Amino acid sequence: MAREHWSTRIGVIMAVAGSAVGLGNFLRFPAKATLNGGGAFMVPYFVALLLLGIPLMWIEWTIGRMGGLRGHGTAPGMFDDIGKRSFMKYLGTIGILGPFVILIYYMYIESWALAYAWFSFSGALFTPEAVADMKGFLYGYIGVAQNGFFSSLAPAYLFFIVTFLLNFYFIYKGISGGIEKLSRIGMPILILLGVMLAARVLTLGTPDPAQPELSIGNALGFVWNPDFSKLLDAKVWMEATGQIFFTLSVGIGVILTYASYLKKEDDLALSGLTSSATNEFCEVILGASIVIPAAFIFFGSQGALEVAQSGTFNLGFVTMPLIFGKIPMGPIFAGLWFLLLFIAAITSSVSLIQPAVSFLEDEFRMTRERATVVLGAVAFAACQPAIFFLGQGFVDELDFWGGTMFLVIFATIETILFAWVLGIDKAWDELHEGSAIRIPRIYKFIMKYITPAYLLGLLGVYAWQMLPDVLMMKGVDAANKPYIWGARALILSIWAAITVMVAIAWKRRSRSAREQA
Amino acid sequence: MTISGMIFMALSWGVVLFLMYYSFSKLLGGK
Repeated sequence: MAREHWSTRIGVIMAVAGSAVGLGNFLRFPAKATLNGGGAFMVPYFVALLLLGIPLMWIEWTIGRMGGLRGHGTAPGMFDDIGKRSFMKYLGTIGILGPFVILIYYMYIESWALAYAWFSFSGALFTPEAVADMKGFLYGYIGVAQNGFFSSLAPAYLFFIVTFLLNFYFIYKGISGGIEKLSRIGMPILILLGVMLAARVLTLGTPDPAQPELSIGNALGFVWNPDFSKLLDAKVWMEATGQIFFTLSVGIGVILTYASYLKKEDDLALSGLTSSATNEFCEVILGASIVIPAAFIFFGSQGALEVAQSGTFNLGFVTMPLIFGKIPMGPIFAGLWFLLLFIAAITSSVSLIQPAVSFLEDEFRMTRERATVVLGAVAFAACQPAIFFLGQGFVDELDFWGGTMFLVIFATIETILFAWVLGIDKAWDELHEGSAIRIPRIYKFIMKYITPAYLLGLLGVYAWQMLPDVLMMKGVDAANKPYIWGARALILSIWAAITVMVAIAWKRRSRSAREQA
Repeated sequence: MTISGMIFMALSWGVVLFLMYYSFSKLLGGK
């Protein structure tokens, strides 16, 4: 069965950029930058981008293309080919498990953006005017609280179904017919919406003449004025490094899968760099110009600080509707904002689905249509607890493993495989095969020594600082503990299933090789 | 906004816009 390919170079770049640009670019980044030293945060941020983010991007593009040429679209086959040890394929299971675990909760949150876009355009969102009311609206919608805004979870469930079907429709249509088309249309629209919203915020001037200090100049100062003392705080360096991981979608396994649909002569170095640059544009320029500056202008510095500390969901779904309620044509801008979030999310969620589909296609010889239906049924069942047990810490647990620990573990393994097992000289040649640019030779040194050391250090800090508290459920309400155990059981069950499937696939493969011989 | 804030914002935007310019000019002008 011949593997599919991307039909254009810009198509694969937009698909990878679409995978990278997500809710984090517009919500997580501006809050992190504001809380961690403003302009000074950009020092560790750019250090991590240059020493970790971009090298990992190139590593994943290279391993992905190599795997695709040998008929593998996911990490078990790729690691097996490079590692030449039978246990390597089992390490690769994280590259299927991680995206699937994130998908379980990500698609539900994505559906909120679609729902809120609908509510904005239809005018239903602008009844609440106070923060408490807007929170009530969100909590009522997601079923965390019983109130007058929503009498049941039915609207949220309906929008989840629509979002779910849309995602699997694009997967069903395939790499070039589905994901590439979605990204080639979606990404320019996303950037246009981002530019429109940033332009709206940057031209707000001083909306209330009675409060001249609440101006756009001071709002940008609130985000960008550097606090150099933060550079001495190790936590700020960790936050910046973590942000680079989340924002570029590296360490998940999705870029490996996307790159596996490249042809042998396709460029890697320039494509990887272009998708990183597009992501950074959406984060540093657009992301930092919308949410926090707008919050400063309408709530003042103390209010904006509280907003930045209130977490991603509050920022996107509580604060922003209130802000749009205060400007002319607010419902339209609110609708555009949630549409932007939805496009950012769907181009990411399809990339989270694809590794598992590729695994079924490549290793079990399923047709794409059949693999999509099988995975759709499993994913639908797995999403249910995230919807119904959202308020019980179920999603936080999935996010810790899928969205934090697995990324660093997986990135460390693939970097060592690339630079040390495959060997940096061979890996470097492979990266430059068909390349449109020459990467500065200093990166050979960085990828061999600096990136692995950086990752091992990060892994050590995560394991030392975060893991014990999470494992022991420190600070978790006793009533929520069964749900946390449930999340862990779900992750372990999925991992066990993938591991068994890898064992079966390789057994079948060696049997058919023996029969052919 | 302080002068140092302006410098950091300009530098950050500059780095990102340079990356965008470099990569897209190579992409559109290259093979």
